[in-house]
Amino acid sequence: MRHYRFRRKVFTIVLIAYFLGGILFLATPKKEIFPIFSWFLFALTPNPDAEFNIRIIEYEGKAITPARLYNEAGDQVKSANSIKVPVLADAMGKAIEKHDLQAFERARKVFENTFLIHPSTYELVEITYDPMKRWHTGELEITPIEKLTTSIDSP
Amino acid sequence: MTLNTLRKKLSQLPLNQKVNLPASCQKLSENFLHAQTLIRCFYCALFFLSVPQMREWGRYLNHQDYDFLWPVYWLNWFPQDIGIQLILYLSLFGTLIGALTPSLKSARVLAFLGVFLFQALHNSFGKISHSFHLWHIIAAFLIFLPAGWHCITNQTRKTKLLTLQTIWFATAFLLMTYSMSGLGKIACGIGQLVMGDISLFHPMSMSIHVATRLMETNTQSEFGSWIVEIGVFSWPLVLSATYLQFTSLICAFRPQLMKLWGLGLIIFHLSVWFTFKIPFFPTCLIVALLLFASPLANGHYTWKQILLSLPGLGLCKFIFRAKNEKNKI
Repeated sequence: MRHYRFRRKVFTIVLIAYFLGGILFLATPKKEIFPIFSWFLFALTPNPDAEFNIRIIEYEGKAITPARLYNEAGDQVKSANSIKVPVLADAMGKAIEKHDLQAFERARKVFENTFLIHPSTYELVEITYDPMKRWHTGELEITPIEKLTTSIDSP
Repeated sequence: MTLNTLRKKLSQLPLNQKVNLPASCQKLSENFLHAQTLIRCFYCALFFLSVPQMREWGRYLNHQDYDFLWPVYWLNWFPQDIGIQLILYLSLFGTLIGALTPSLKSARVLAFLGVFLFQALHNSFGKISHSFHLWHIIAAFLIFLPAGWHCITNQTRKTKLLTLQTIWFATAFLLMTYSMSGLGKIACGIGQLVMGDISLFHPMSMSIHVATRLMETNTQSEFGSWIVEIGVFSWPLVLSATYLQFTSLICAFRPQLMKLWGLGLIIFHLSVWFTFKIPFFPTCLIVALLLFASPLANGHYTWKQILLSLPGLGLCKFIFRAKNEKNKI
């Protein structure tokens, strides 16, 4: 029974450490350190706010008029329904705010090579909207941040 | 309050009763046999889930710009093609060996490493997805099964106890992640409420969540538009989901609730798919394995027993009694 009690203590500590780690790692840039995660999924109710996104301007040399947000660009991008794109756009936007060129280039490379068809010209934009208003009327405000073209060395 | 007292309180057991097992686990041998089957099923399922990943292998091998997570960060200094192939083959054959010989600790370690490294690679595209987390973390728990857990005869009481203990902690971990999720919703809800923002406690919160997600991904779902349109009437759904999640960990101490909570959590995941289009399919399987087929929830319970052990009911009773006593005075 000594062994049983010892294991019980160790496992309990592991559970508590995971719980605390998950909460503490919310303070890290990615809000988690794989595989320790807070499991705070959909914890914040979206409020009218600004967020970063991607707008496609040109695709294989042809201009898209009017320019479209990534998730509305259909087959002009690789994965229009991906939730990873807003996350990468957010990483790029925050890197610009912090003047962190390295983090910006890292997120940009992953985005371009995973989610864009080459060559493409696109914009990092900030969109502001009220979720329910946008749902019913499509109303949203778009502010361009940075115009970008897929890197020459990209496939 | 010691952990033991807390455990007894959560298990709704008298404080003077001696408990030396994962709560209420009395029919040791019978439960142990169930545990053996469950463990074998777990490793077979792990292998089964690794096989369809082969269709994606080309994507991992052809990709150039990764944002490697720490378990696969070494791929930055190693020939990438070879390293990725090693991980892919390890994920397939590691889980196959795990399914074939789960009795060997080395096989269980291989299975864990295969899934863990593969998931680290899979999540090295800028965003971490969480639908497979529970599998590799529970695979890590099962590495610590006692030697000889697989034998049919000549089992010692100690082996049986340690096996059930491992299963109990794996289940507790699974349930704890749901409680963390519920806690997040409540804590952030209170925070937003204090800040004067729209929060979980706003009747439109569910509709806003669904609308935002569907617009963000430009997808349509079976019930998404309906949920947005019914507005305030969707509020009870998010409140029940929060109750279900937040109180999950308590079920680890009340085996009579495990199947009911398993059902609730699976319905929750299916609802998430039908409204948000977020797939948590592997999670449904592990919830079914650990809660429906739990060796700890092996007894026969009446509906009355189940209802009386619902989390929060004891607290309501306590408040009601305290109020009554106050009124008497």
